[in-house]
Amino acid sequence: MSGLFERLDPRARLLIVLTVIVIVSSTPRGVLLPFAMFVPLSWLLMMFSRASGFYVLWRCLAASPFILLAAGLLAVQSGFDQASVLAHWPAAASVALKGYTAAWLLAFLTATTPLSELLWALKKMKAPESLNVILCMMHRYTSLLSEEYARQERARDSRTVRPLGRRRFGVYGRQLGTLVIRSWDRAERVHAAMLSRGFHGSWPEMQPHRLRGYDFAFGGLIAALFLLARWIPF
Amino acid sequence: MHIADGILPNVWCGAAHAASWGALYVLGRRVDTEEVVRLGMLASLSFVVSLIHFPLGGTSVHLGLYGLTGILAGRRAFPVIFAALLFQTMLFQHGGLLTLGVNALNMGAGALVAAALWRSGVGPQPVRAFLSGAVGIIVPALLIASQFALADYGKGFFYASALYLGAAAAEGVLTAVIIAFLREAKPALLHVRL
Repeated sequence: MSGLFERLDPRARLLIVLTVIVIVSSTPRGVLLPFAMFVPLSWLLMMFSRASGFYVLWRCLAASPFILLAAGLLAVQSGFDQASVLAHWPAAASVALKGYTAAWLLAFLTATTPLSELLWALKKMKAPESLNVILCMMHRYTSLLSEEYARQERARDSRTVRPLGRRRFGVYGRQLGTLVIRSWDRAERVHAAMLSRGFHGSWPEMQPHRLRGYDFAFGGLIAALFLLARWIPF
Repeated sequence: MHIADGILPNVWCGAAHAASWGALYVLGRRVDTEEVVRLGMLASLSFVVSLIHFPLGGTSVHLGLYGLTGILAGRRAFPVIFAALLFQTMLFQHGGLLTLGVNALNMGAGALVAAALWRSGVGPQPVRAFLSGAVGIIVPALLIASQFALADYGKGFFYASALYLGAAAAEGVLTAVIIAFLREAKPALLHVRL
């Protein structure tokens, strides 16, 4: 059985997460108090779903390099001495908190909404048709190309007894060139197959979801709670 | 090089979203069915390539090959990179929903400069291929450094982006090797006008 959040229309889920990220990101630099509410509220939002907290936490750690780099640059922007780092630490901490809260929410969205539903939501929200088709092709063929590359790597490793050294550019380059050619050839075959099935630039769409009052009420409540958390302490 | 949410001001992110969706409509219009299938495959390839970690100087860098995307897709490189970034954002939390526009403009600019350089026809092909591969990394790194400096993060990212010079050189060499290989194995691919 799905959680309350998963019962929402995918468009509502996408818009709720985007709205909350906008609210969290609008917190001024150096202001830390709202995060005392943002963090529990983000956790509460997750309680309405069946997403695993550890999974979401693990996924949001992927954003760490850039968030920590930005916070670190902010902390040392006036120099590396203790006084200037201490003067900038609230700003650095707020940037890190904003980055991690936003990454948490994005990871939460992807944990609760399958990619196919996100693509459907983008299509319904009038994303350009060319983008929709490119994304649908990616959804279908990325795993195939990944497997193709993995097979190439296995073949390369099985034929390489010594470290590649300086030859690695040539070996990797030709391997990637082969992948480009195979992808291109596959695109031509796929296109011919799609034409034979009546493809004319877009796919017929099904309407598995629809916006209801529940979507608006849930979205409005979550947005109101985050807005309150953003402005009440001041 | 994917800017996460919460780092740049919301107004910038909103403006960049508007500009990137506009660019997507302009650069992605009048795409025929055969072309869109190729673009989809190229976007998948771009995504797969970004998962490859290439050994370099005792460490490893992940490939972007935005220059190669520019060479193969021309002005259509922007929709391809936008789609690949959207995928990376949704699947791996590389970047953010709010900063998708900024990231697409940064990386897309690298690919478009590379495409212009390649199609300029000036200089021998291997040199152009190398430079196209290198600017595909250097242009986004400089744009990100400028955005950080303008957003009051200091000039630190300019020093950090110097680290990308090694990655840019590696991508330049790889792009030159790939183009040389394609010229031998399937030259028609380099003459496709997307």
